[in-house]
Amino acid sequence: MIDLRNMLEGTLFELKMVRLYWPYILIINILLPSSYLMIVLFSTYGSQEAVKIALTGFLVISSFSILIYTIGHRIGNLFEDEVLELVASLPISFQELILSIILSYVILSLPAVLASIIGLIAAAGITRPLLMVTGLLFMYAVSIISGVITGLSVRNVRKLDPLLQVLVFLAIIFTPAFYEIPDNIYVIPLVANPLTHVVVLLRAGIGIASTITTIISLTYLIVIMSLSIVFILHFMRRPLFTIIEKK
Amino acid sequence: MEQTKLVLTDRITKIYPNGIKANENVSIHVNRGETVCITGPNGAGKTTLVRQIMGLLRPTSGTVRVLGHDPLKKISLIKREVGYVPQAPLFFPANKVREVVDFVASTSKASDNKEQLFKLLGLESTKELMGYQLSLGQRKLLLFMLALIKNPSILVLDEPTVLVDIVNKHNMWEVMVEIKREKKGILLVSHDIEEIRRLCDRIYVMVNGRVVFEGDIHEVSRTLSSSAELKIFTSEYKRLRGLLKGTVISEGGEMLTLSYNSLREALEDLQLIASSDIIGNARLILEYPSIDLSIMRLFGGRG
Repeated sequence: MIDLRNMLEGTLFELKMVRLYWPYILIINILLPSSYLMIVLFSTYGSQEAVKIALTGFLVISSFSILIYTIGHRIGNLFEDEVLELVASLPISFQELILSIILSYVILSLPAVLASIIGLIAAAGITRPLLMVTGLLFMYAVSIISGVITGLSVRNVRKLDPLLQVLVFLAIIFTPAFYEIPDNIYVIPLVANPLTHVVVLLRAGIGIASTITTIISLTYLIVIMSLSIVFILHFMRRPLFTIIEKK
Repeated sequence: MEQTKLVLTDRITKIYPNGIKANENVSIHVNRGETVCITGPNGAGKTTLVRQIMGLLRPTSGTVRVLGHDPLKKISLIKREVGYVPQAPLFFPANKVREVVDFVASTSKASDNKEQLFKLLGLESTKELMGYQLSLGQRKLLLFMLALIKNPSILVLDEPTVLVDIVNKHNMWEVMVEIKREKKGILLVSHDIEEIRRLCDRIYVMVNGRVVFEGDIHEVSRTLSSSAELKIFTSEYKRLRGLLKGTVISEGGEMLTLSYNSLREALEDLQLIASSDIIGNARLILEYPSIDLSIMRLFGGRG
């Protein structure tokens, strides 16, 4: 059973801990996305349509890269021998701790995401708010779940570091973030990528239609996310939080 | 039903993937209201055993039960009910001491003793320090305090007083005695003979991953021919050196340590020293039964 109070206390504790690493957090959550956003906006040459595509793409890629990296890395860090032993001395459960980590990094991702949403509203206006909100929720769900699954599966920060960066790189390539969905064979890996469907929903929210319908995207995201949650819950039932025995 | 055996391991063995056998067929138990010590040389498998009990390491075979449950399956219960002090002076580098204590207090069932513990363990002045600013001893004290704040049913302490100054070490011992009075259990890994002597009801001696001795603390000496140990503190001991019957364990500077297989032999040497002219300048310590010596013999060491 998850104790909500423990989870909130854990979130506060995690946020206080992050305080010491504020330059790192500032760089990863604000400076890097901001500089990236500038490049993206400059490359649109002021075209209204291009700005809309660039902003939705930026929103998805920046939140995905921030959340998968921080959450995945922090969960992987829990399995370091010394961290595991230290955490074992705390009364908070591992499940509550993971939820606290998620909530903390979601809070830390908010400035960049909110700035993008405000930019999006200013530049394009939201025509279908419900689809926009649904898209944002799935954007967080996909990013968080990807971080959790990667962190829990790899459980080694030294392996996680390069892997998470490769995953972010693949997400940029295989998500129609800064381009429109093509009408050829290249569409196959894009359709399999949940982030593509998040982009579809967000763009529908600001009135940009895609070759993939919102119904298909919604159905795909619901199925994929449900399966992922079932997988995580099943995975977490195993005695997972033990020292990784290196060969 | 109230669990009498708070910790129980039944023939647990740990073989690491590289083939190293960390422990073998280890069976121990801790009853309610009992302090049980584990001692043994470095690499004997003591910390491996503690980690198996804490659910941090899977035994290759055998079973572990803590409060009647498998710690691997009930890790949340173990985290709540067991106060754990790891061997290493682990710490939260980026949180203030006060924040760590408040966090543990607010997420556990009891929290009203934290100010008292701050005072008792000499940590009052560290409240506003970040974890990385603490000395190694203060880190161990904080780990001990966190274990106590949880108001656990059992304490699992892996060398808790190592690196701690003598005053706080005594304070920690007092707290442990108090906990025993509250009918809780303590599993204590220690190399400190004084600590073992003061606190433990029973002792397990581990060597090369196996329990080589189990029993009452005084039984250790009885089992090993009632060893006695004599320490002579004077620079003049060399004059008597050839006349004494004890086996020299160590000598150097102004100290000579001798071991004896029986008290009678030690007393004979004492008489010899008493009748000599060095007695006026010497300080003598006779320990019988000598737990240090007995345990060293169990380790397969000198003496």
